[in-house]
Amino acid sequence: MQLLACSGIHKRFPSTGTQALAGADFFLEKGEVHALVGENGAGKSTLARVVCGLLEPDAGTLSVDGRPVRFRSHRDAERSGIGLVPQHSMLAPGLTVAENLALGHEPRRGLAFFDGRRAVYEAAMLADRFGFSVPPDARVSDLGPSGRREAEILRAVARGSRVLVLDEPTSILSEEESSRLFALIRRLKDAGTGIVYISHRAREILELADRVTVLRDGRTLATVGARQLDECSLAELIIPTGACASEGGSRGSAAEPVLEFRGAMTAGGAGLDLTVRSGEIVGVAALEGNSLDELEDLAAGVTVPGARQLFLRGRELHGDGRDAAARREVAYLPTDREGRGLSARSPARDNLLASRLRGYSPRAYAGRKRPREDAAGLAAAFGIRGDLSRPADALSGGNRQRLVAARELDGRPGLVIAANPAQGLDPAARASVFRRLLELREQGSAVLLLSQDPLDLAELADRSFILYRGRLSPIPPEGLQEGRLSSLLTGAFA
Amino acid sequence: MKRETGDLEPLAPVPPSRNVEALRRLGLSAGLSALLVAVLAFLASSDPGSTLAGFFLSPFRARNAVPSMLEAAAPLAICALGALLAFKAGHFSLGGEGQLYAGAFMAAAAGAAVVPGPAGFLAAVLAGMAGGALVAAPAAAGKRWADADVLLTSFLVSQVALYTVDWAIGGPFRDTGNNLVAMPAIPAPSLLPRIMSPSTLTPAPLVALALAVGLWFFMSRTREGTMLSLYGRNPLFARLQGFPVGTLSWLPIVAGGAAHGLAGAFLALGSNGTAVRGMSGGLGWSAIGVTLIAGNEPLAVPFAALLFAWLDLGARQAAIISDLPPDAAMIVKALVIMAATARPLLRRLGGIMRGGRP
Repeated sequence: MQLLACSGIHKRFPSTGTQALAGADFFLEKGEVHALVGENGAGKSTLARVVCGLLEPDAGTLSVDGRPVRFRSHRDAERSGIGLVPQHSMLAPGLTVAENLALGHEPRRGLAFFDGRRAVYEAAMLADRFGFSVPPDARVSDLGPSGRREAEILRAVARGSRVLVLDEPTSILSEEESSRLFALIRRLKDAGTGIVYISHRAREILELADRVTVLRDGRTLATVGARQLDECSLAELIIPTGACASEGGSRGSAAEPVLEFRGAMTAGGAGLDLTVRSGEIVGVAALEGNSLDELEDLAAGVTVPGARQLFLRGRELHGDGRDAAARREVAYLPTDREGRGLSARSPARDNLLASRLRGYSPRAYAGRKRPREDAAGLAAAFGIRGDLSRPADALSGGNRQRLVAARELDGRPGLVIAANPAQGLDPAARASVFRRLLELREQGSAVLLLSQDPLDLAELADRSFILYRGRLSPIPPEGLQEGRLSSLLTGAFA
Repeated sequence: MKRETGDLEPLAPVPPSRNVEALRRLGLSAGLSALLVAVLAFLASSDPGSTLAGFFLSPFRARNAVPSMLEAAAPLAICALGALLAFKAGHFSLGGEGQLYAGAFMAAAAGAAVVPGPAGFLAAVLAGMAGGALVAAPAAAGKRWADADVLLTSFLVSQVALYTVDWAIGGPFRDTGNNLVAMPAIPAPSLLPRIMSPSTLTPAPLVALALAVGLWFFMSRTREGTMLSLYGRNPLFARLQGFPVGTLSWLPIVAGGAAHGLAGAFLALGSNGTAVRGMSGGLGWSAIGVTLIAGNEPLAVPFAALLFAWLDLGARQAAIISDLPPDAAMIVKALVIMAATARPLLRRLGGIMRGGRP
């Protein structure tokens, strides 16, 4: 039985001139997990927002239980049994899980008083029924990413959702937390809930989904049974490149030390010692809360290291303006792409060329021909779509990610700091970034790879470390094999 | 204009260039001003017909009116360009009034002290710029060394400068032989030459125009201008790119101060012939309004300054020949600035209402 059907959905954003959807179709069966995939900017999130009533389509029809519907707001969609679990939590952090669930439908004691106890009881009953592990009386601000995600899903279920739209639900979850979430999704599916699942991660799509709808340029390209696909063919469906994911190159031999941490202190614990040499990729993996962000800040020069704790080619780094010249040979793909990787209100072209501005003679820059050609060349090489003369924030999220990667991974930087480099990228873009990191290694760059996903390390790193409670420990090669990753991140090798 | 794209995006409209957009915004502001003047004339005047004629026609009919308008617009445009430079670097400097006044004071002092002629003129101009830069310097140093809030520090230092210069002109530097509270006159050979006698028009408007073109070129055609603009919108990004953020954190503030000082020097070297108490007359504040109306685009600044000068002159003329209060120009200017600054907000709200992305 079709719970939800979308047919010929069109949506255009006049403010940016972007045709986000141009004939998207898919239908969702009862008790089905249906994955929506596509490269960045393909229209997945827009379609999800249309389905949830957050956007009104310009054309096309939506039907629920076979009856055409028109949603003017998210509340309309909720009334039809469609719930959204957004990528970024929209829960009120100061309230408990039960209070968040009750918001707008508060159980009352007497005429006006909120019945907190009943709210907790109802939430607990619901959680118990589907096997949620999040405690209903816990304050949302005290929950970890996994707890918040569960609470979001629980809230949608509490609203009577028969269709759940999950937008990148595992983007901030560890392997183990993702496994728990998958078990929960399966229980919901068994209870007849239809799940629209948006993700970039081929492996989890193949693990969870019954059918996969591929979007490209706002149109439905194909709907395929997930059993007919493997990772390679799925990646190929999303972007036909003729090749699957990156192969992983030969491990180059290490040479001159480029970046050295010598007893560098983080808030998390003891001093860190780590050397990254030219021609090698050194990976550090950690779960959130284990000072990986501090390591990133130190390496990138965002925070000030202690005296004689950080060195680039033997020269001490101070974390201030004195490092400006040394920083020019450092390429940095930050976790916070928007805040650190872009001057978002400036033209995309200026953002793209920021690292090579000094390379132009004043005359060549004033002439504009060469910078324009260079920017267009970079954009083409990294598949950035959009008008480069407009502000970077007018580009789609995926194109902004590509812009940062294009700028930083162009040329031959002496050192590359790649922090969660695959974050937010579709499989094809991820493969392209990984290929480029391997090329840079072959060309002699030193690469420091920081990631919350150990699979990134397994794919790229010559030497790998785990950062657990502020301490760095080397990971033996077998530690990066599947099945051992979860124990690895929780300190089994530390 | 050929669009520069990374890939085909056939449905995206070609956006107008920033300058065209700024000029369009300016045209709208001018239209809105005219409308507001008409409304005011009907509300506040017993003879709206002559008030409107006074406002719209007198500035162009009166002898020397156009040169006067150009002369009034020049210092306003120069100040606005200085403010714009600081704004582009992300520094909201409010010290223009004091910087201008200090510039006028220093120019008058130097112009009177140095040998009359080109040397005296040059000394006065340089001293004026130094005066403006000096008043901007504490805010710049505060930003550079202590990351202090430029908005606050520039305003506070400017207030100190205003009172100090007031005291100096009325006290130790006063020309006691003059009926005005003013400094000794700068010798005529050191003053700006008049280029359209009998009007008082000097080459100052040409300098303002040249500065606007120069600033446009700097911002859009030089690597340093691009760096400044990227820094202004995200200083952390600029630092991580290895830009000279130390210099970018203070130089635009001081350069903006020097521009205000130059405007002050031109006031002293123009029809005033010296520094007169209170001569800044809110020009530093009006300049911020001009910058906003020009949409932060250098090439639109001279036109926005002309609009303000016309409003001032029109209100004065209308007040002479009718009963319109002379403060009408202030009201219109305030409403136009409000409309210019509120437009992006209204556009954004409109976008959300239409179901688009905020």
